[in-house]
Amino acid sequence: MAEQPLLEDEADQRGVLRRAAPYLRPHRAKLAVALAVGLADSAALVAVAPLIGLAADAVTDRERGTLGLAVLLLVLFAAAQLVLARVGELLLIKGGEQVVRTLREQCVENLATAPLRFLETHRSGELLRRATGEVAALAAFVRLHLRNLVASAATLLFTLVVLAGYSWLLLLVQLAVFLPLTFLVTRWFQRDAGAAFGGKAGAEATVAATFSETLTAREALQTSRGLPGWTTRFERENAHAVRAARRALRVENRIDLVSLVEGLALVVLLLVGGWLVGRGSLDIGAVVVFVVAGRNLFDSFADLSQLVGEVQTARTGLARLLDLLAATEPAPAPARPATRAELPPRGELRCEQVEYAYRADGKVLHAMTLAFPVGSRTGVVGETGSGKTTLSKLLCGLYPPDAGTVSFAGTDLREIPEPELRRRIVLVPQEVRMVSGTIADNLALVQGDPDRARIERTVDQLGLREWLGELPGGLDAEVGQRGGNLSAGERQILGLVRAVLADPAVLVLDEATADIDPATAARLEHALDELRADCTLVVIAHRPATIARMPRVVRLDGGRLVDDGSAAGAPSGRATGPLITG
Amino acid sequence: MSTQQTDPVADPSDDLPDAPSDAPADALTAEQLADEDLEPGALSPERRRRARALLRGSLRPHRATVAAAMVAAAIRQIALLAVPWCVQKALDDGLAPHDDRALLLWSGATAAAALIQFAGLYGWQYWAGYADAKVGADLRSRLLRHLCGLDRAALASRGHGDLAMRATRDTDLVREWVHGLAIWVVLGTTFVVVLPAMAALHPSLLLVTLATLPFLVWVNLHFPKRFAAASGELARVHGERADAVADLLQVGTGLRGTGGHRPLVERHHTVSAEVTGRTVIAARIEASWAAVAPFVPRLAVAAGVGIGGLVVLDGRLKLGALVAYTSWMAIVTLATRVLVDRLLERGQADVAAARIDEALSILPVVTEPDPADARPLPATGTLTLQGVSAVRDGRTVLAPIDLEVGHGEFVAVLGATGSGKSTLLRLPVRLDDPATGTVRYGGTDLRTVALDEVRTRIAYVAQRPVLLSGTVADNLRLGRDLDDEQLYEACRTAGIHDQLGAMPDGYATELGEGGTALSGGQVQRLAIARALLGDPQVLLLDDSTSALDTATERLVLERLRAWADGRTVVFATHRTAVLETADRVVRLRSPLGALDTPNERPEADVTPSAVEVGRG
Repeated sequence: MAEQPLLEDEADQRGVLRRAAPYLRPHRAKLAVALAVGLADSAALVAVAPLIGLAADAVTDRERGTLGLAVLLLVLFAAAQLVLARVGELLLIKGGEQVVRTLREQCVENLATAPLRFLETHRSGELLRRATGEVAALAAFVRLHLRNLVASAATLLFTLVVLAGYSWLLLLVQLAVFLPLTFLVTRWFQRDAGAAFGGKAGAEATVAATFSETLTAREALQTSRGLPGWTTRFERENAHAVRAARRALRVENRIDLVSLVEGLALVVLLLVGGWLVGRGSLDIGAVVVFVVAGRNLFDSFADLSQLVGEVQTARTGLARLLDLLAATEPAPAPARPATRAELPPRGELRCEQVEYAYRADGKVLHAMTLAFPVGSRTGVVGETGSGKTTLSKLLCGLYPPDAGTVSFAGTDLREIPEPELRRRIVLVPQEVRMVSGTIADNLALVQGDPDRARIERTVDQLGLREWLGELPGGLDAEVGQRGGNLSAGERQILGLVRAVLADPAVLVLDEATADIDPATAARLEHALDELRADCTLVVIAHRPATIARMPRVVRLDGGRLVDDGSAAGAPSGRATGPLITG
Repeated sequence: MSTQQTDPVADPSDDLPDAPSDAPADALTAEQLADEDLEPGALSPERRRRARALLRGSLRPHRATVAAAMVAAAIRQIALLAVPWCVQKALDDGLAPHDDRALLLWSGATAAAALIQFAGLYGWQYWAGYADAKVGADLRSRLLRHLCGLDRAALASRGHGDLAMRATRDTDLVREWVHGLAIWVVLGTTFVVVLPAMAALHPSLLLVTLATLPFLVWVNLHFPKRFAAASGELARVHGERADAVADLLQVGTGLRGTGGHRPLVERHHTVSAEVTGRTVIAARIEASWAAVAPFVPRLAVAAGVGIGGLVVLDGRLKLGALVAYTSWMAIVTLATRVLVDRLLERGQADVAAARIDEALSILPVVTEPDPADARPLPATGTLTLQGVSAVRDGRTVLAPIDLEVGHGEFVAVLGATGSGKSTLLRLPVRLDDPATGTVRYGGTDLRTVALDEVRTRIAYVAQRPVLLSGTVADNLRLGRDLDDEQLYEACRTAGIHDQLGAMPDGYATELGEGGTALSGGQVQRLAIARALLGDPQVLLLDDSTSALDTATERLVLERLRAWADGRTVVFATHRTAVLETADRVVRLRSPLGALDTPNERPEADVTPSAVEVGRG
């Protein structure tokens, strides 16, 4: 079965850090330094409370000199923080950005090599959202929140250490009030957070996917007068996203209860502190330190609780990104490269008992066995839906067969690394894709990155010099957004030039000349035929003139081979209709 | 319908009855905005004004929610500021003199303040979040409604990924801004309450605090400008990266077969490296800002403790006041930091709003007539293209031609690759307007008719039909009110009813984006059925049988022919069967003549009724 693992809308968030660890590891040294500077910054901040306590004691004991010392130290620590805060934040953002960069580049690497079926079964808007929106959110988290996260955590830790030095008892009473209640609040929050935030992200991803789809299908909607119905659907999804956001808010706000707990802890501090001072076992200066440092304690807790939402959002994004990375992880490169003989540049392409199905309930290809010897020319014909295009993708290794094997020079395509494979087998589909840029930019989009001279040579070989000369700018003509300045036929001509530039052992053309006018198509097909005698050519086409050129024609019907063209001299698949042109 | 944006060479012919000489005064043209987008860091005053107007406008429908958030935030902040005062009283009146009753009283007051603080915080966060979600939904909706109605020429220079980014990333930034609005109230409340409270403790403490203000003003004048420029650049490169990913996802898959996706990956990595570079530049400014901003308030705490300590030593103030002062100063420091964050995010909201505004300001090139002047379209009539030509990015893609298709006629359009067949078919359905000449139906210039009416009368099937996610039936209906029998009827005519019925879920089969579950030929027939469902008088088909085998093609043509009795069909094609079915074959010459090979047999040999209308 060719069923692809589908991405979850609400990606599993368990063990997200563990799963992210491989991406963090290369940057651990930088991150460690950044963390150390951040800790020093927090230490300077925490030192303020004891210094104020020192000043309070100095005032109580009427010591002007000690008061002066406390003030001097306060000034020095403020100056130290000025430097530490800047360096720490910069280092942390730099390190974090490196990690995000690794993630986004890996993500694109994986998408570029993911099985074709995986890409076809997902809405491109959904994949785009994960590869851009999620990445941008992570980058924003690193830039805007990561430093606060580190600073708040460190401040909390240092404050606890300092307060323990003043009064174990008072700190324990504080924590006895603060920790269990905060723990309960946090657990209540976390119980529903994953579902709530995941649901919100999922609903927004649906909206984004529909939005992106609208841009793609704009003209179809306009000409079919479908815009009102379509926008109604979008509004429905949009309203659902608002409801999901409200649900997430109700869960997120539970964490605010922590601020109420802080207030309770302060009240307990006053009461117990008053009792301890009344018994004479504690200075009033120590109570002052507790009150002042309590602000640090609570503020850093408050910052952390505010950040929980951000962390949760970032975690959701990270989980969705890691989910994508895991789902698109390239299969481990086939082992035993040492034992396998070097793959010859030319060889026979063979499919043996190949079966394929898009879904469990319908095979598209049945036990297909076909051989394409070196330098052979084969036409493939069959009715719409007979499995021709599926066969073409299997022959090129873009789909792995469900059963049977496709092999080149005796090696299973699945065992050939992708760059190797693409040097040998090239597919030109009916719809040739273009990116914004010049014609030369687009022609260079083949294995091996051909230079200008080779492109020029190939254009000449195919007799396209004159045609190209008529485009404003020739090779440097802008093709427009996704090649929009060119007609489908012009794009196909460029697709064929690309194929020749790739110089493969096997060239599979799937209706690759269908949009080109018959005369030009005939000329190009002839040129292709002449160009490389040892190149194996497999041509899928409806146009009778194209098929008529093929010495051997195989015919598919309902995913089965009904004629493998071996009956020499009697190419039964020959053109059935009258030819338009010669 | 103005052509000035795509066509610098075409002369503004007299044929254009009401070519708008320029855009409305207050609307920037897409080009102006696109040019400015290269330098989004330094927003022009005009763009900033427009961005702010957009922000205000998007808030207006939700002002009650935002106001609720602000009130809750103010209550919360007053309660929060009352806490240090209660603590001061507890220290001075309860703890120091060992007065248990006063200690209990002020501890109780502290507890009450904490409770009110919590209630305020909850309301603030809830309403602020609700408002931001609603504003985000509104903006996405506005963007969708605006962009989905625009034509190809208007969007020619836009990447889909970049446009989609405006509905996701930029909208999210505006949402953050909305969410943060109540924080301004918190900041205001803080300064309004704390400053008099400090004066009440001792005037010198107020003076110390006030002395920090010029510094705060400097910080907030110096950094936001530099930061806005840096974050604008950052937003731009993020947009470029999104385009690179979109190219790879939507284009790269088609390039797989030739191994052409590698250069796209490398292109992405180049932009990705630039994102990192821009992030570091922005981070450098941000880090300096974040470090410098709280420095002086911290010095103020030191000074306050020194001066306040001396005043306590003199016996004019009690120790608790020192604690209240440091607590309030800490809150002022925090408020300063938040103020900095707010200003920082405000810059981002301006850039994001400007980008959204830009997308909303893209003017259609194919325009609706003024509703008052809109003329009705005759029920039937002759389709006349008179002297029409088309230009795309300075290149003539359709040489001027005249074509007349009578009511009830079935005309095939033949022509070499690049001769402009597809371009020609886009004109009568007004996906594009001609650079010169006019398209008329029943004598009425289509540019004077409401677009919806044109598309009711004239239907079009694209060369590469696009399917939407949803079921087969959804794709046929596209939101129109049609019963099942109508769908079946149209699909029978298009020769696909039996195949659809044989699918496991029939017409309820879910189709992915691009309809990958269907073959190219099935998609073409589904698109034909979709066009038939509008019951048009004119059907324009762009090579709509190119992926069909000859037998299926003959069946479809036979049924189309029967359906077309009394209707007009224009069919761009190379296919023999179509040429044979047509009443008349028309041949287009390439505007450049390059592919017009002389040895090509004239169509007259194929269909005796061929009429050549192309004009070199």
